[in-house]
Amino acid sequence: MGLARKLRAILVMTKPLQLMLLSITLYGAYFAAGGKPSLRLMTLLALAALGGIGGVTALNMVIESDIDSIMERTRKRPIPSGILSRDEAAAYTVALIIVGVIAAGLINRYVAAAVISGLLFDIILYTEISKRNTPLNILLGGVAGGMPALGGWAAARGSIDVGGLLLSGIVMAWIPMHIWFISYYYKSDYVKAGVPMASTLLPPKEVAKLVKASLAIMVVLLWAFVVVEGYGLLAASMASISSLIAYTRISKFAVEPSREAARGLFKFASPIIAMVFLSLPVDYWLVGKVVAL
Amino acid sequence: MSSLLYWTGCRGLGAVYCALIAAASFASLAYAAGFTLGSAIAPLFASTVIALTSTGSGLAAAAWLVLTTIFFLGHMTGVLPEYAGLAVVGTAILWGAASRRYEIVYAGLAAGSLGDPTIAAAAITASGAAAAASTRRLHAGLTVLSLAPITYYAIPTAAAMVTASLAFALVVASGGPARLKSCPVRTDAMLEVPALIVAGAGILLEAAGIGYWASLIWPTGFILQASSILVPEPALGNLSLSSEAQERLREGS
Repeated sequence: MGLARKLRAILVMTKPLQLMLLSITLYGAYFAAGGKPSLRLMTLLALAALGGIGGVTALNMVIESDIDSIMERTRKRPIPSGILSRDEAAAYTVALIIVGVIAAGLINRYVAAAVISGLLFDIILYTEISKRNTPLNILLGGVAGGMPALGGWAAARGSIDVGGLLLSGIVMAWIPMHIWFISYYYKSDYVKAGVPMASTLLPPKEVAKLVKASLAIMVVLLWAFVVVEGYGLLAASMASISSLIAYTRISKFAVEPSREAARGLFKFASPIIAMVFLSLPVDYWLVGKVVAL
Repeated sequence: MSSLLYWTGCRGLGAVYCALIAAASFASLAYAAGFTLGSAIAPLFASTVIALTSTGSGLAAAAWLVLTTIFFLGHMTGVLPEYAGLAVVGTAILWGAASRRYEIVYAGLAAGSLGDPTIAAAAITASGAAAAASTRRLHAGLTVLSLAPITYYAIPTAAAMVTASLAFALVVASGGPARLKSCPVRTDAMLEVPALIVAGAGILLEAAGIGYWASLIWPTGFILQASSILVPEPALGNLSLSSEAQERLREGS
């Protein structure tokens, strides 16, 4: 099998769409923290994202190839479909992770620590310890999801401070909505593979309550960011309005749960976090302009 | 963390094993972030988990947490003399040895790693005794693993890294969790190979005096190693699968 095909398979294992979404949080946090658009830093951040987010995601697929072979949604992934052997995939993904750590280390120690934290939380604490054992597994997976934002912030500020932790917390609080509705949509797959998810085990009303709570936490954290950093009004306002819309849709789902409604809410979730992290740099820029005036 | 380890389904020595691995992973992360203090906090959590699993009592775990926290804070602030820490370690060792429950000895070792070289020396001695008491390689691996944070205080960093990596190799060679009862995890030697290479590269960087990169590469390798020995049992055992699905699963593993 050609090297090009294998490399393409590795790229598939990085889940490009998820990589893109989390990269928005990384770059959004970087610019929101006052980072400059230097070519060197942009390139290093891209490599850190590819290795730190994509590589870790790919390693997940290596470890979970048993489940992937069972679930309808995932059985065409490179390992279950036979495009890559587990040995090959493990070697490539470890190499990818190292590229991510080195790129992050070239920026500063804190960005590297964020990448390594992502590895620890995603692989050991989420995939290996909690995923198959508790329906609240995603809370630990969410910590890993917040690391790109923390890394982006640390790249610009040269340290980890309250602002970075709040942005990281915002992503963590958003993740349950993102994951629980897609897992509801693929409920039979998750049940078949024996992966407990709150959305497949709890009644829809309870799931709705939990997601609403996590969205409320997200909005509170965003407003806390505004208080601490002195900017972010645009992002916080837009997130508050989106969350209110989400609330009404989630309430409707609680009364009339359906796969389509769950899919619709999953699709509604991604733009919320993208919007927050795209508008935060605008907020930062606007505050700078106002101060200059 | 105790709840987290409860979720693994591991009990007794299996839980000790998972606790040490998780604690060591956190310690290596703290090392990457440049916090030597953080390296000491991880064993504190581990010792609490161990107390919980070895005694099966939340009260005992709470008591242990209070004791080790007092010891930790006292030692860091210089209020408590060394022998207070030694008393904690010594009690655990005596208790564990008397009851032939090695997990309690390991708890003492983890607490001992919070101290200075004097305490570490006592812990190392006890650790050797615990290893000698068992012929199983898994015990030996756990013993060496428990030495890693201790050697961090007592000997050069590169040696501590070698010790920890050697421990993982020993645990993997022993068949790791497969040897433990009621612990639904397994070792994945295939993943261990690239992880060992990364950890080895980190050790070489440290030995070459390139401390910054060693402090990033080695923890990455260490966490990858840890991930290679906590791989969940294949889902196959829990499911009634079609022959086609079983075939796919075999090909995938």
